Amino acid sequence: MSERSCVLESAAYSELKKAFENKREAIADLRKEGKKTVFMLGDDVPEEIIMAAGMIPVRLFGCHGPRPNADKYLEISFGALWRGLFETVMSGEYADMMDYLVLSNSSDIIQKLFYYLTEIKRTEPNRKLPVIEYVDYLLMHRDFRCQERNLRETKEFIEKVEKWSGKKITDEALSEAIKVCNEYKQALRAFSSLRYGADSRINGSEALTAIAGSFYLDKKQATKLIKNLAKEAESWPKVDALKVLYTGSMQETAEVYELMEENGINVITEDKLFGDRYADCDTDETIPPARAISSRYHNRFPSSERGTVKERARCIPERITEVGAEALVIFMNQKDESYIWDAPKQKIELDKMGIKILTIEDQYYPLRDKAELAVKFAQFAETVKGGN
Amino acid sequence: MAEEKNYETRSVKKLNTPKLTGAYQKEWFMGLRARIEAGEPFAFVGANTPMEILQAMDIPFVVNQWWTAICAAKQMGPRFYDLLEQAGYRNDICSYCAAAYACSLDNKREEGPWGGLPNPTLLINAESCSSGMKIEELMTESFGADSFRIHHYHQDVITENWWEKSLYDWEELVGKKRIDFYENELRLLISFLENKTGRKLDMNRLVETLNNVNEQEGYFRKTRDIIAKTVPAPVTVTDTVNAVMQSQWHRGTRWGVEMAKSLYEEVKDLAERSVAAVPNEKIRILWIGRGLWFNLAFYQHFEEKFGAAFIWTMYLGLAADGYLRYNVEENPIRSLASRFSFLEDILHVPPFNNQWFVKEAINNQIDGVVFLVPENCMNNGDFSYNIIRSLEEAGFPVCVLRADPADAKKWSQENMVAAVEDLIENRILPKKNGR
Ligand code: SF4
Ligand code: SF4
Repeated sequence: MSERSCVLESAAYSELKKAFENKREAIADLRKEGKKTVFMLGDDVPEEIIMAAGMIPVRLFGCHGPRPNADKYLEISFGALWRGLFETVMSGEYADMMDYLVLSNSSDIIQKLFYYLTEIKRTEPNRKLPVIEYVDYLLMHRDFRCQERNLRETKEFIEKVEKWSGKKITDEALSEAIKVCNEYKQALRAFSSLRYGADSRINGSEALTAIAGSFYLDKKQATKLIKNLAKEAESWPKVDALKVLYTGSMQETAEVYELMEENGINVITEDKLFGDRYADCDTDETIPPARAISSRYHNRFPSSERGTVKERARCIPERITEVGAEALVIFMNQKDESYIWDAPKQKIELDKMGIKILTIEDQYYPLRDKAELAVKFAQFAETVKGGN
Repeated sequence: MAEEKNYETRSVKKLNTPKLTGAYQKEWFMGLRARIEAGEPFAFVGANTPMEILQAMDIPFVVNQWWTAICAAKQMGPRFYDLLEQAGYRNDICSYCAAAYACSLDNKREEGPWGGLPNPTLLINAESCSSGMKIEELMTESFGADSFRIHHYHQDVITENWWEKSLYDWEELVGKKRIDFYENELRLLISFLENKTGRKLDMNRLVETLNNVNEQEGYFRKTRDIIAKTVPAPVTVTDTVNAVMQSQWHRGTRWGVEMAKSLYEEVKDLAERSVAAVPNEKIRILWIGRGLWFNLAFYQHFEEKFGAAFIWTMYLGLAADGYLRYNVEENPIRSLASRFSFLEDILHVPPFNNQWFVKEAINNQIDGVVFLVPENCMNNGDFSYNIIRSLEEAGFPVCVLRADPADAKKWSQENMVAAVEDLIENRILPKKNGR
């Protein structure tokens, strides 16, 4: 199944897909005007600040081929997603483009990667590693302590980026960047709304390709393409499959979603950055920009790494209702199983709603045993549908 | 050839101090129970929290990891894992950290060691990994306690040879920004405790407590130094680990000081009388990672077969180097913030950890290193590559064991023995003999 012909015929989709599949080329295009590029590792790097400085924020993506550096330097306890991201930095493949690398406190492993990379840079000076920075937001709690700290981190990050770019970042420039990002996020949300509910018209893999592809385009152009795509998607045929909310290890490629689609499951939303979580809420345009940027991190959908069990036990069922999902899929890479500490409390709520959960553990990236997984997906789709 | 020996779970008791500290555990715990039953507040705290504050406020508390070790020693593991499984959790990951949560789920808690853990009214934790924080949240709910979590701020200052700065230049070591942050967190914690318990922190008591800590850790430092310079070593890790840890959990009390002093005097006496822990000591081993609580006799096999003495673990090492902070009076809370915020870095953040291990390996005249990497911890990330590289480059061969130090069930004695034997026979001995 996967991409349908109506989708492939769309000019907007083709462009997004091209960027998704040829990230290097897309980034090279962005750099044409000679702007510096700041790669971001983690969900919570304030890209508006990078934009306001006249630099290009680029989402770091994992290497899916062999990962010799990850195998050499990382613990076996680091799951596949992290290994891929680390490899992209270390392989040097993007060394000519990666002027800066900013990591955010979105997961414990990212903090460790920051320490590892900093130490490698320090002890192996001949390696071509970029300038490495860390944004240490407090994301788990949303009290005044975190809000104060996050504002301070934002201001410090602004100062750092000013040094990098050699120019002052004005409030006007920040407000403009916020506006551009908000419009982009609004377009993404409008597009994603066509994934939801009984009339769902977009496959998970199509959505992932379009959303993640747009990360590698100029924001204004991306907004335009996503708007066009949403318009076209209104007339795409409905997707007839089990509608699920996806959580667990982030998917950077469409591989897993496609396998689900081939077996009767459609991911209609996910709490992941490569997907709906990126655009989950806007930045307030009515308050001073630094304050607005840091406050947005208090309003986001709680991620599984940085949300409390209690919050997630409330938000996941709410989100399932909101989007009209029929089931929850928790898909975990090996050594990336912290989600299991969330699940039992969510299950209590979901049981009340009659929502079933499929839990997949011990996965790799790229997938190792597709056939076995296909059977699990198909059986789950059948059980839930049959139960209906 | 391999002597067939039965490695029962038992520890060697050569010194008197471990007997004193061991006996005190139960006595102290029963006293604590009585206080709690009489209506006093009861805090259950993570090992990485500044318990000196609770000590100074005279709030009864138990350290999570201490309790887990007690339960592990009483072979409570299987019971824990069943409880987790029944509650819908996996029982094969995070076992060490989840033990106390399992305990909170136990509706027959009184069957636990020494009448079981009383119900905590306060939970205090420092931000750890995602799973750890979720486990603590679940535990807080399950115990029905009030909780305070100390937030985290990453290490952003790199200092080479940190141990040269920690005693006096601790402000510079941690960095102003970070120490400001933690000082504020500790002040909030104190307010929280004052609020919840109605007790007040007397700053004079805090200074006294911190001075006690310095005195206590000073004895540990001297003990470590004696072991480091004495060949053959007067004691091994199995002799000292319990005494060190048991008194560390009572850090800042006069009892803690007395026990550290007593251990020091005993070790000093043994060294002066040239008593050797392993009379045929030929090899000195440094052990990195959590101790094998359930299998202390593991080490004995190598003593007997190779004259290999396991003389160093992080427990005494950290006591000797990690805690001392002088010039406390000026701002006791700030000095505590410096100690507390940096402890984790020593073990987990490069280059603090690898440089320290190398320094300790040199000072302790080490021949080889055994590095236990916990297998079921997703957050295990001390940059072990870097630790191994640093040690090997400095001339110390390293053997890595992958295991779950808390779960006796999963310990493969043969594999682990074979790995350490390989280190000794194929890396340490050829090198020594070639010298
Ligand atoms: S990941 Fe490791 S540190 Fe975190 S809770 Fe699990 S065992 Fe503990
Ligand atoms: S209550 Fe029982 S099972 Fe739980 S920790 Fe205590 S002793 Fe162990």
